[in-house]
Amino acid sequence: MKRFGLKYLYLLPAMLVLMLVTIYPLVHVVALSLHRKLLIFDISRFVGFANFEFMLGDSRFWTALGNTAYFTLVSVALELAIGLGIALLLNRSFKGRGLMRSVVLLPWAIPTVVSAKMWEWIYNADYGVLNYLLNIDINWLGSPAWALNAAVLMDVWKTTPFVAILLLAALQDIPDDLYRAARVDGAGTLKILQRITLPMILPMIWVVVIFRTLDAFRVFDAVYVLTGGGPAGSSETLSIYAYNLLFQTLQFGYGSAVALSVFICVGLITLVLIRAMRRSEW
Amino acid sequence: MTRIRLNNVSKQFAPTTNKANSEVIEAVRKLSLEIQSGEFFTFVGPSGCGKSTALNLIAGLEHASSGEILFDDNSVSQLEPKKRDVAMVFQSYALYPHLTVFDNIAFPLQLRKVAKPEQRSAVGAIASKLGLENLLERKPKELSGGQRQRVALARALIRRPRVFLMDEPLSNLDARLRLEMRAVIRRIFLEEMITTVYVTHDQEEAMVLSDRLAIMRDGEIEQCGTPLDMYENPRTQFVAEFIGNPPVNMLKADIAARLFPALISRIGDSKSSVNAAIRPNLLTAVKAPVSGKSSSDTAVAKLIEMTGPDCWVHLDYEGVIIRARVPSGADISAGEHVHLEYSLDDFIFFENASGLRVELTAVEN
Repeated sequence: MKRFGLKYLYLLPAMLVLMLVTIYPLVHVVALSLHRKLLIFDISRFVGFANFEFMLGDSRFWTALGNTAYFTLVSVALELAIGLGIALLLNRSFKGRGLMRSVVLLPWAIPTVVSAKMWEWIYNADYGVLNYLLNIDINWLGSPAWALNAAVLMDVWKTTPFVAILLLAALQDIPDDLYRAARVDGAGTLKILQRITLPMILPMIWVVVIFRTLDAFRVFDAVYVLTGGGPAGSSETLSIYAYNLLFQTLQFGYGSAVALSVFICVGLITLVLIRAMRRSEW
Repeated sequence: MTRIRLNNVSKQFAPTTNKANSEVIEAVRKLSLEIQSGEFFTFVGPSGCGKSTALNLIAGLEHASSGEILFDDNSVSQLEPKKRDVAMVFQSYALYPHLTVFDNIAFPLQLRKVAKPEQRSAVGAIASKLGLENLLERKPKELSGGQRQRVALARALIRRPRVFLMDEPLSNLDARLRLEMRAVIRRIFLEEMITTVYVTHDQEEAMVLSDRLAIMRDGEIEQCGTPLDMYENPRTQFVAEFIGNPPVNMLKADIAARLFPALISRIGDSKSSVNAAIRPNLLTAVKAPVSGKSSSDTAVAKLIEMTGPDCWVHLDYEGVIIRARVPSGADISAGEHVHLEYSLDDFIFFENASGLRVELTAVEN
């Protein structure tokens, strides 16, 4: 066989696996979303874009989209701010720095479901340690005003270490001489942070924002275990809504349409963020 | 213009915590020194001798463990670099990779909130002086090594600092560019007349650039003086061996006395306790001795080094290598037995144990 064809042969196994586990399900979901398919009533027929038309008028969909956007914006913003602070602290030299770096990573190492269960107890209205420490009596997971925020707090606790470690890696890539040069050039601590450190790690900040935004927008397990989307849908995200449609009520057609809307949103967000990242590269 | 004085300056570095059995390192030990205003002064020495630490102490990037540093008559020991008004060029150039050449050069002015039009004219002036006019919009990664070097120089010069510091600025350049930039640095120094402290491990660079230099060894100054003084009157064997290219011939006295018979009148009884040194350019290799000149025993030519204007020969005498000049026209090739013409006065001597220079005057018979 010619060398030209050989390279495609080498790629074939990987391509086949990808087709099977990624491309095929995606195409299938697209196809499902164009059908009215209800297993319970044994209905399955092509309806074109009817599911999407219904979605635009579905207030539960818009609430879920709003919840998802809120969860994403607030959690990513907090994780970035706190993670940057931790990274800057860990980048200084002090005794026990190696130990601190490992300790900081711990929340991230715990499986999401486990930490969600843990936080469920922390938030418990009657026996929870949070109410005990704050000496108040709030039903964190049971009140519509708090439930989504409680999920945000847990996500921040769990994922900030990931942000901190990535930013720390970027900080350690900045040569010491740059700081020395800036000090000689007349920059104080704040100016160095503003003119040297932050611009130097900006590309990594965008990487972190992309990773975190995509993850947060698709959030399922953290919220589902903690609140199940309740109370009264006040913490229901798009993924949870899609799950409920697909597997609680077996509406495969409409559920696929909602799932596809997550895919489309995530795709658009990625396009915008990657452009921003490219611009920030030096 | 600023005069710099160092009084008994020492710098210790704490042992690194994560390494076992590490000790306190004394990088600079009781350094006392005066650098005149408008002087080009160089710290030179092998790696680890403390020369860069000395420079960092003057810059304020490190603070002295003890002792005092004065600019003119004011102590700056406790001041941060920005308060000392010094500028520095680093071996790595330390250009800000996310900024354009223009912003790199203007950075010190921007920090001092100089107005935009003044920034532009100042950057324009320094850029044309260093041939950077067409590169101002580029990022550092788009520049060659020599161009980066000139941007670093421009950034340091832009605000006319009190003191100009350079830490091995030429080490990362290739040989030809190094010679070119050496001339640029000296030219700029003569134009600006800013007190300059320079650090290098290259003795030739130090000799060519400096008004005065200090040779450092193990955190202390071995000798300090003008380049010519260091070359002609080294106070220690270390200095004699460090300065000069090709390096000085350093021979145990007993071997020297056999190779150069006339030396015995100077060495006398100190045969076992001194070394005799002579510069290669003061030894002339000849095939046959000429009467009337001191001539050595024969040695075997091992290697001929033709550098263009000069030709050098490596000779083997009792297993010791001696370098000597081959006069133009002399046709010496490897394997031949040659004699060396020398003058008794050109030898200097160092005590074996201490490495210190000793005067041995010829004993008249």
